[in-house]
Amino acid sequence: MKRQGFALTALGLANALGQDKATIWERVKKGDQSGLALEADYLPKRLVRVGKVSGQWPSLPESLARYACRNNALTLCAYRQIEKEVRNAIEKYGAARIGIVMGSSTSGMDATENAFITHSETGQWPPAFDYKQHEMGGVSEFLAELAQVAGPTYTLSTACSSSAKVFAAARALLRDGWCDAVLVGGADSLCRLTLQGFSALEALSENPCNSMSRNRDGFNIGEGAALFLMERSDGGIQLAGVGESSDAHHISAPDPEGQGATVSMQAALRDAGLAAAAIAYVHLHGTGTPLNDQMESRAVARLFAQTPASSSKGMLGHTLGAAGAMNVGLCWLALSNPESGRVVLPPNCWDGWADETLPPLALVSCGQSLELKSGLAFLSNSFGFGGSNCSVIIQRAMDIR
Amino acid sequence: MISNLRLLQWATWTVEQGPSMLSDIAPLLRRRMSPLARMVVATGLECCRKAELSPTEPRVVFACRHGEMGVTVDLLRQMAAGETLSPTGFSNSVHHAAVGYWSLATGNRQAMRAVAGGDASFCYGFLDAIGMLGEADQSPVLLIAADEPVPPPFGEIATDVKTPFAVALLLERASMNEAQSFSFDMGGRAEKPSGDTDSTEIPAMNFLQWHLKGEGSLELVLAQRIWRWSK
Repeated sequence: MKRQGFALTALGLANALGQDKATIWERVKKGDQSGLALEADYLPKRLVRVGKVSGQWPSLPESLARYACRNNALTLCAYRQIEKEVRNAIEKYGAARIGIVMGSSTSGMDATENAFITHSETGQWPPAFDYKQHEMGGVSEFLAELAQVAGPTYTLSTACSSSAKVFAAARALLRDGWCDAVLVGGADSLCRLTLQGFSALEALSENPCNSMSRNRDGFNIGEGAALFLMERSDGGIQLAGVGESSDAHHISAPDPEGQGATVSMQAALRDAGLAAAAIAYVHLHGTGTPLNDQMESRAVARLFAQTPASSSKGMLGHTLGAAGAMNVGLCWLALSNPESGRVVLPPNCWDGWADETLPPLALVSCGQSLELKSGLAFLSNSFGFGGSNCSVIIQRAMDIR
Repeated sequence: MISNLRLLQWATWTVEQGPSMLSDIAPLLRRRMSPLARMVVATGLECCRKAELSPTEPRVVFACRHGEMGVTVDLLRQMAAGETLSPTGFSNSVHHAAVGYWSLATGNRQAMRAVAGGDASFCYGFLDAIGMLGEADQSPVLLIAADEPVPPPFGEIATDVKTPFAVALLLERASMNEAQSFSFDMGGRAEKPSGDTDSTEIPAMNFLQWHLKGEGSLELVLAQRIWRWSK
């Protein structure tokens, strides 16, 4: 029996490298790290390097002012890029047949922080604050009202794996017949709580993230949104497989042997019906912390020792709850934008000093590319707090060349 | 509509009887957990015990609207006072901390998700859980719906949860129409209600009470949508 295909038919994204696909992809291909800059607003009395979305943002419609927060502004930015495709989907399927599954770890925490301070000082909430800006479900509700769709609308929040797991949830909504299209992705936004929290965990680097280097010393927090339209279709870029696992090891540190990460990648391969050899590129979680890169290189080397691999954390920072969809987004851009019969891969931005205590990986250098083929499949890893792992495989459909 | 669903076992946390279930969690781990995480893990363990199922086996969906608000408010206070945040506090503040602890407490390495969907968080958790049951993996799904009253000052504006609760439901999809199976359906947007409900009812408890005693169908209107379970 032929398997039902699920296609990712449109993508919008915003991150430290820009607010549109074309700009972001051009800068990713060049290994542009200039989006990671020092900012004074997040840690007391010191600068911290972050991947901030800069420039003018679209403002929320007046009617949705109760959702106004940084997270939803980023979501709006990504949505604007696929508005046409969403309108077409509404016309084709009807608003009630379009669902939303978003991943986030922050929701509108920046608005919450400011409101809390105002309340502490005055005993009153600022008039613009609404609990919907804070709660995790808020980002999905906002998107439903913005796009005027009326299918099931919910959020997954499992820290850094949030917006990888959404792909499995969205696919189930299509498979079980609840929806004909799903807006699926993630959004996460800079705020003092996550910056100060990860600072307390000593996970932040002052320098641009140095994934897989012997000199790696942590990550930079980034922000952004990545939003796909997913539909039942056998063409285009397919969601081929999703694998999930848990470490059962520690609440904020990964299993050093990478057993959970291995299980998650194997589960994604099984789900996709692919052998490890069929994966042409691995987008690493690659946070540049001593522990993540240790466990991930062990896990990846077990399955993909010769496969080109890279982390985008040295360009985008770690976008946390948006990272899963952001990584899949870069894979989608690579697969969708072949140049002269070649697929250019996102480079691993690092100092080039391999960690000799770890199994070597085939890290991608700037400009490296693969021959374009139908069926080309990429795997993307996301690992989060609480040992929450997810791997996603996307693939060019067999009949497109 | 999805038919042939089965509730294999259930457990609930109540303010009176819950604390006696906490002794199932290793004291060293228990001390590091938030009250919400303790409630979730203890209720999940009780459900697996009643089902005679190893807690390493089920996949887990945690349905929760507000997450770790107690821990988060502590962190907001620490920041406002210019203090360095507690690393444990920060680790405990993530929305899905309770299922991270579930994995630690039980050694469970399966898929785990944490779902938030406003006042319909239980219903969306149910939807996510039956979606998970439709995957190739044959293990049952443990759906744990839990929330606490939102602490001050946010409790002034988020008033829906009046008392801490946790409801654990062990679900599977039966292969055919077996006895005691039920179906689940989700309607379109309801015309009538707008905004969040403000009631003392706990949707997960409504479901459980209907499943144990009720006949026919249960209809809940939450997040402006009709949710229907039928026997």
